[in-house]
Amino acid sequence: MSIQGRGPAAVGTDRKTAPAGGLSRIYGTFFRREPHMRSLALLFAISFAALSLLRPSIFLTRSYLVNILYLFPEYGILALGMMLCMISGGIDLSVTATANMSGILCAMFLVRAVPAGSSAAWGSAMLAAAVLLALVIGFACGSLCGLLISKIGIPPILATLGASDLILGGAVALTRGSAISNLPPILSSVGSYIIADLIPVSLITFALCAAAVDFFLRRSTFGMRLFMLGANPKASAFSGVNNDAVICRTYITSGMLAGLSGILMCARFNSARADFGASYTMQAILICVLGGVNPNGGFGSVRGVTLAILILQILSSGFNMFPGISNFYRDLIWGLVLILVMICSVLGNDLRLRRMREALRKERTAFTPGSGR
Amino acid sequence: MIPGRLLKRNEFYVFATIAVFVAVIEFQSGQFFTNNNIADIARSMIVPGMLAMGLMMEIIAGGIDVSFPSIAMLSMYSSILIMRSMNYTGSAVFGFAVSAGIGLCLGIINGILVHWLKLPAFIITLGTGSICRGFTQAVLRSRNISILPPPVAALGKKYLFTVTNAESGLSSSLPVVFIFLIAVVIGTAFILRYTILGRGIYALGGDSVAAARAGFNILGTELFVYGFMGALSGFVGLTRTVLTGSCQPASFIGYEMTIIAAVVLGGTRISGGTGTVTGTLLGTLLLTMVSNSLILLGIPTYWSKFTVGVMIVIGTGMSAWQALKGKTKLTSVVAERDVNTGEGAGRCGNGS
Repeated sequence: MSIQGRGPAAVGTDRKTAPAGGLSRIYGTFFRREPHMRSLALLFAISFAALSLLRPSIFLTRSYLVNILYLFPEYGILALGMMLCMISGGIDLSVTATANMSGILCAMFLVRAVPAGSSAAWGSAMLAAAVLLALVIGFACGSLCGLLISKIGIPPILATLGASDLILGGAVALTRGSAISNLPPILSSVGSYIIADLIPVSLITFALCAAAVDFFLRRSTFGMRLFMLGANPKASAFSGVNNDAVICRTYITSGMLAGLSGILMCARFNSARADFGASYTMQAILICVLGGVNPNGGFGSVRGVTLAILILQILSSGFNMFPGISNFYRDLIWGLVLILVMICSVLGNDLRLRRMREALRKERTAFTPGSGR
Repeated sequence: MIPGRLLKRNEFYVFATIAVFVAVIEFQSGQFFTNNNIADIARSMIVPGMLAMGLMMEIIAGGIDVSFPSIAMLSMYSSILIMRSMNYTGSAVFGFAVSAGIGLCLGIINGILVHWLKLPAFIITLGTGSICRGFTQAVLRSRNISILPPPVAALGKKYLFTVTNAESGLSSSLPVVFIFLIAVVIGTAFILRYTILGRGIYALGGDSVAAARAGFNILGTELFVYGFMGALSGFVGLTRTVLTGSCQPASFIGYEMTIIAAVVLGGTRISGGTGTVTGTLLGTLLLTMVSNSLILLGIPTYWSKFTVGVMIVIGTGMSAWQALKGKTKLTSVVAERDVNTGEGAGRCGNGS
């Protein structure tokens, strides 16, 4: 497995180099040039097959599979934002705090704006307003982080840690540590609606976010600049990229995604509280590393992260099927997965480097016979 | 008059903040300079103070650690389990040795991974911390133990002194384990200031390549720093058990951010190479006072997290802002000189 997925050099070139034709083209774009994607797909297939074989009567039911699709978008969306920040060479520890803040403020807004007995149309309009509000709050929290990092120069870990305490502390103070409940039913009925008993609304939200992030990463100048910034901030500054602006936009995007995730959380729990999803930040980091995002910056793709999210959710839903296994094993196994993935990627990189050197030496001796050692 | 050199030092600002804070508390409640409040603050400093020393060393060496609460949890719980299963009644030293030994092994694993993988220590220790926490809670099925082995329980009942506030009638005592804090602080200061190892720690954090060229043993230094933090975590874990009189593994969860905040507030640069024992102690004192004394100010405790956040942002922001300003000043001076002498262009042109 390799952490180095697609670098900036690979962006936008796959159309020309990928072989034409249906399956082989898919294989070419997805796997051949990305050994990491191949390993991820394998891991996905293995975990899916293992659980199907172990507990076919529970796992392979429609409701269980739909439940998997319903649960992951909450932290999946957080992981997308985390990925952007990690590609830039930073990290965003404030995602959970931002999500909770937006969940709480939206819940407060909805409780006041939609009194009991108001019409469905008014409720939907206010729900749309709440989503907008979540985006605005995410924007505000994200720009706080972005400004602290770019304009004041605080390292990302500290800036987002401080911002996280600030935002979460504000949320705790706002609610005095208690939950906001008695939400209007419109939120949970829309947020946890499952279209045709197959496609949850949260999944659609995630798909839209993933598509947008993917588009920005691979097809926009912003994405190109983000990869350049992450790979080498000095070089990108000297090639005329406004690093500060790129950093701000990255953290703002992450904040807005977190805001959306907050609304989803609010809809699933049907309440809002400052300490929901406390483990989501760690989970998002784990997903990114598993998905092939380089923690040192410069590499990462939406496809890898999406596969990593699916693997984690399948494993974690799998645990729930065995009541004998305590939930705490999840921490143990996720920590092990995180460390193992990093070890494998380092070993894989070493191996690839050695092969490359070997090939280079062979080439040299072939071209200049006699001079080879 | 305040000399200009003092104004540049981070410790001065932390100290000034503490002074203002103390003045406000004293003005509002008149309860700060009472003997029991001081003893309470000293008592609450023990655990964060020791952890902050170890973490400061790691951060100076250019690393970071978020796994130490989980290491503390695991070594504390398993050492109590070991002592209970042996029906141990000897000296409490044995318990501390076992706990610190387990912590040392875990810390060295951290050190090896950080040195070998060359990935951010934050993420590596996030993983190892998660493993330790999962191991304690899932495999050992940790729960609160209130009946401690006799030597540990006995140590918790030993006090240096007990003071009683004449006005309110409240009394506080300073436990004997306060000596541990003093020993760890002096030990850390000695290592950082008077040993070649300490020089190596600063050099490694400043520039690891330069440190290696200068002949410092990088692997050894990293192993020492992470191993020290691990052993210290195990030690502190048992100390906390002694202090609270019961073994509560879950109470360590989420503790890492508080300690990181304390170290960073004390002026330790997260990028490595800079940090002092005095600053870290002051940072810890400030955070301890905030969590202890907000109630004296009549501010509800649910504001404490917010206050900590404000302090992290302002505290780190100030030094980062100064560093940023210093850098732009420096580059503009260099650029000016290059323009004046034409050296900049010449250097670029004749490079190859």
